[in-house]
Amino acid sequence: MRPWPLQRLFRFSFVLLLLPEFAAGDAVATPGEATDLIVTGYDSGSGHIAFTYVPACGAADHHIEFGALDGVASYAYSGQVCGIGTSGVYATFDPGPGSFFFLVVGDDGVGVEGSYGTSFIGGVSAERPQDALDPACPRVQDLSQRCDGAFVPALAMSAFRPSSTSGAVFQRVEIPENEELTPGAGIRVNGDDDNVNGQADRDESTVTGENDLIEVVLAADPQVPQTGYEYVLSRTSANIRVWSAPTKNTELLAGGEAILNFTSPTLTFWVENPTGGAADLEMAARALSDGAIVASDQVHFRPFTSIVIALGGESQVPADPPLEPTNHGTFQLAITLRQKGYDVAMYDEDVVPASGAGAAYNEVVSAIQRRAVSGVAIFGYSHGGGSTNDLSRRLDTMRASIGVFSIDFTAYVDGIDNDSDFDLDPETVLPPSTGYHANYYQHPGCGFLQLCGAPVAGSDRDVNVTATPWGSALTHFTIDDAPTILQELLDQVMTNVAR
Amino acid sequence: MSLVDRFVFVVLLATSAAAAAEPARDPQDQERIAAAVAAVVRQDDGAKEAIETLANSGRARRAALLLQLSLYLERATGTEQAMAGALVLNQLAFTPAEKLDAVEPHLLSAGPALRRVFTELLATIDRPDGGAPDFRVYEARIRGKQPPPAGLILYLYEVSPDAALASMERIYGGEPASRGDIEVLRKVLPSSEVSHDLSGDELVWARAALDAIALDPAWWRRLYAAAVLREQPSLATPEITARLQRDSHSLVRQAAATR
Repeated sequence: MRPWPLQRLFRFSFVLLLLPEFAAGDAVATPGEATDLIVTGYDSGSGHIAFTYVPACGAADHHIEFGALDGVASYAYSGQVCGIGTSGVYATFDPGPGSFFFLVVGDDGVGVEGSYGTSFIGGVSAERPQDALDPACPRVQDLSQRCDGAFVPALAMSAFRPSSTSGAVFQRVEIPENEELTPGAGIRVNGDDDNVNGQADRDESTVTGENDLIEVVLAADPQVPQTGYEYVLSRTSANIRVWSAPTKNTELLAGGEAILNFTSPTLTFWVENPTGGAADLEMAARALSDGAIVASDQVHFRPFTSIVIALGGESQVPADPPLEPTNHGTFQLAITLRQKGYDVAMYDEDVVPASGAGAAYNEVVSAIQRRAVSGVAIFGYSHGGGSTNDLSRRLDTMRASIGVFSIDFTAYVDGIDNDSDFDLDPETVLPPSTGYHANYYQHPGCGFLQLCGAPVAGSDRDVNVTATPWGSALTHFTIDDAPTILQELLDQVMTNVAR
Repeated sequence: MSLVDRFVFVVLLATSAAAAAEPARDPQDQERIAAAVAAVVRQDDGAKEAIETLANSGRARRAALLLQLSLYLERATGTEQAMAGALVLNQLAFTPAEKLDAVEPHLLSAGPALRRVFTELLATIDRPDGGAPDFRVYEARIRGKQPPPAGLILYLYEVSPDAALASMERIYGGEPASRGDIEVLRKVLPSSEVSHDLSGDELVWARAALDAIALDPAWWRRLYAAAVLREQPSLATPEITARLQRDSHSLVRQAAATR
């Protein structure tokens, strides 16, 4: 007669597993745990063991895992019986002569198996290890979405940096997960008029050319929530509105929240900040019974309070990525600042004529008057340095007609006055009313056919790089790419300019 | 006029010049210029010699050399070529007359990039220290030519319609029939930094003034109306635009057609 292991050893449970991505409406659970395994008989003539069990939820089939009894402590499975069905009754189990332990595992009838149940392993309750050899029934265990466990879907909400306004086009960049709440996603107050129809964009439901909404992408795994749960999108205040398209179109959260139906693996929406103020957007899975949140992801939206203008050197074309990655330091810095959460516009310095008027000026004025921006930062290299002063001067001159703002930061990198493309005079004038000015210049003697910057009286940081160990070999044509300067400028902006 | 508008204006001016061809590049000049620029970028000892070679090659043909340098700068890529090219230009010390001789004949036929170089060269004459342009330096040249030098005149209106009109009044004389209307425009427009920021009243006054100026007997005042319209597109009405586009003077038609 064969010895039998303790009956409690054969009590197991099943788990439903949810596959990562499905077409809408597909069942997503995978088997849970088969439980209450009870040996009901042994036929000494045939050697058959009869038993009953409670089938695992989500199982399309079950199989038996067994092994020699002296291997039970290490779960040394040595055999399988496949396809014992889902009736909860089996009467012809015959592992052969010897002493054995066995258990019943639910599977999907194809290739996925559920839980082997839990036991005290190493002093703690833990899942029994699976049979990795699978000599008869090849199955891969997946417990990530077991149907008999707690429903904990994986929810992800990604937000992106703002699209470009009047400057060069920036790449689509996702905000890092660890910045979604602090500092959060920067968003422009949408009081401007991108479709130039005389109406503030916030007051319209469709805006051709709209560029101030923030893209958010939602993903849920499983795509269809478990029965008894729903996915919901909500906001903490009306400071943000959520639209179906980058040009607005259909509003989603007019009532404060919306039930999400993932008809595709991801859903994409656009967030607007109509009049200012911060708010959070939350995606959650919640129980229908009591509204308990079982999983969520959140993005904090904060209105931009500043704008950063970057002006390249003569004939440098702004682009993201830079057209010459190791030779367009000004644009590298602009791109980095955008990735740090600033609202940045980068331009060919020729958009700023000697009068300071033009596209960059209009962008700043629009930001102040219509997007609730109060801080301005401007920096430029070579003629872009001269243009930095031209733009600052015009902003300061026109201050009364523009509104309330401060020029928090300015910088020249080997700044050259920009009265024309052929101006070679160093820019030596401190931008009027600047809160912090950095001036980096090279000055190796400035003899025949040498182009040099110059000191700027009143600068908060005035560095002749030629006199430094790290910058002695820099020329006008290489100074804008010096890592030390780019790092210092980055630090200075982040210290002096609120995002 | 924003720089973007100005660029479009320039593009369309160039287009309106129809089949007029850009000046040809002289391979030898281009090679010498490129060598000089490269030496300046490298900041090496060969820069002085390269500049002297270039200067000597153009000693008896300064305007032609400047034109070739302009053609080189038209295709400058990056700060290295642009600023080193400016250093070379500065070292060659062209006079305002030499610059005008090189540029003026080609203003209408130049494509956008070359015209950009030309306008920046002229800026060194009429705005050497930035600020408001002073076009008096061109008045003798314009006064002596019949028909008027179209490219140069359009350049003046492109840079500053007000300064251009002032020069035209000095050259061609006469009391502006629409002086009051011009004053209205000058009062209204500076108060608006962005063209579509004009208030309702300002828009009404400005359009009425512009309409009157567009009917002035003097072509250079109607040209002023066309130039203002380019700076402030929100002032446009189908009637004003159509009238200027059908103007009897070709310069007015050209300026209006660039809308």
